[in-house]
Amino acid sequence: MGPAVGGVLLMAVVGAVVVGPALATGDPDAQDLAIKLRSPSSDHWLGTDQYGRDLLLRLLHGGRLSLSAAVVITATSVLIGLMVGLVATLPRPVGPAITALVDTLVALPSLVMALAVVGALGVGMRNLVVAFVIVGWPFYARLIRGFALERMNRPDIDAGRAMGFGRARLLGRHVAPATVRSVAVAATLDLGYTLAALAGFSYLGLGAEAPTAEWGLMLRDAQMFFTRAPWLLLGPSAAIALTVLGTTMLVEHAHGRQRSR
Amino acid sequence: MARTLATLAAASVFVFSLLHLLPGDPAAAVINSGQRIASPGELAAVRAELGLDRPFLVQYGAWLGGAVRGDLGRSWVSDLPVRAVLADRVVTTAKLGLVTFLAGLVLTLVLGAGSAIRPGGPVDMATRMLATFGTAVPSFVMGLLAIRFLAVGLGVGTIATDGTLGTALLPALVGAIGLLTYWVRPFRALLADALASEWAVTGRARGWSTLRLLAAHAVPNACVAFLPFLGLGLAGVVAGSILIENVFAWPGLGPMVVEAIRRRDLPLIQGFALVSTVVYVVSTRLVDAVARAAGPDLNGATRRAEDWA
Repeated sequence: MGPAVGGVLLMAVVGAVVVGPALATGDPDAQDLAIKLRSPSSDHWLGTDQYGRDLLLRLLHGGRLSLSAAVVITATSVLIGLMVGLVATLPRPVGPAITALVDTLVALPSLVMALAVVGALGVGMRNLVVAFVIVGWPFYARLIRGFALERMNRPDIDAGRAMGFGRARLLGRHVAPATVRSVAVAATLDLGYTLAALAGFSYLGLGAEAPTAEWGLMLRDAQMFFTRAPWLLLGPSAAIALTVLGTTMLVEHAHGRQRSR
Repeated sequence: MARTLATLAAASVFVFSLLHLLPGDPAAAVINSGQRIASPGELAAVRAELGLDRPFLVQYGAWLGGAVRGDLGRSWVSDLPVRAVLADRVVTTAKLGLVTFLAGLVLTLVLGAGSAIRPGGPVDMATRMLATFGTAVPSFVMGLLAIRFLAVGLGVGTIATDGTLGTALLPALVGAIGLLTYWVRPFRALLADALASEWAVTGRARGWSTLRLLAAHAVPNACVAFLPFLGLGLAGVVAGSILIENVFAWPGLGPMVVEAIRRRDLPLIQGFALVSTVVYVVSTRLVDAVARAAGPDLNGATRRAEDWA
């Protein structure tokens, strides 16, 4: 098992989502009440929903939305975390103060905080992304500060310091790149979980709004037609599960490799 | 202790400032959430009532003072005191939380033991698959699948929940599987350690059955060593419980806060955030303290074996 399967899964999902809508042409929002709630068939591989919309198209388009939102959230959180984390390695008074702030923020429950921010800003995908970033960057700040500090105390950096290299140069050219590589592992894992969380919020009706195609929203619709049309559930569930599975399997191997280094 | 207070203080500042994060005029928001149309006179009155003209710190102080005394304001939608609404919901959530926690413990114990006794055996393989399934499938998706295929499909559990323990089976099961994914791997490892310890080897040489070994030595030791791990996944459980409650329409905090968000009922949202955060921070600190008290030597199965002999 391991990374190969994980990588393949992830690439399959990404590939389907990026290329799919180009291959499977059609409007995911096109309604045709004459064919509503049809089970999977050769015309509609995943069936149709209560408005006669093709579920495969909605799955692919929804995937684009979820995946791109998750990438934006993760990338932004990492970026902010990187900046704050590196600043937190500075000597007193700046470093310890920032570190204290970050440690405090990390101790707060993220879902509760995200709900609170969405509560204040209002529902919708854009506010959701903002909320997730606000809640997500402290984790990376602490992670990066830890990695950076550990690397700063290595002999090669000490040598550089002895040679008179300034802190900025050490950080920028030697510490930052290695730290970023380590963070990639955490970020990949985070990507999967963020995607699941986005779907969760949309399921609750706090994220994407109808008639947008989005995996969580599709599950919300599916719940209304459980008995009659169980296939509504399967597409989005499988999509979310496969994406998370892909990221976790991909990362488990890298994590193992990291530890043995 | 100081760190806990600092964290709680930061949380309170954050929760309070949500009012000012609101797009537009907070005074208008108060009135609009009550679905009334605001006249300039009303706006001014609300602004004075809320003290929105005073400096931020003064407002925060007033709010915090009230909060500490239990006054969390009134709902903008129903005008009920936030504290009353929360109190009612917290009890219902706690009920499900307790059942879920116990179910998770039982599941972990049983499956962990089954896996440790026969590594590679059917129970081990099944547990691994369940754990992977639990990691990949988010709790709310699992809940939906459970309702469709267990409740509707097989008639296991009820489709609708109403806050009574009789209907708590499915939501607790889904939550328990979530706990399992965090707990079973460490527990299985600790149990395997205990089963391989000198004490266990001696016992087996004396002819003791695996069951006796388990009951007398392995499980108790593993449980003690496992205490620090209970905190693992606390965040996941809090998050999961909010989602699970919504999936199953369990009348706890979950559905309450979702509706409050949809209706822009900020006092209720703030009350929820404050209470949840306080509970979460306090319990994580408690668990950390337990972990420290249990001592740094978590792999001391051998040493503990000497105590037992």
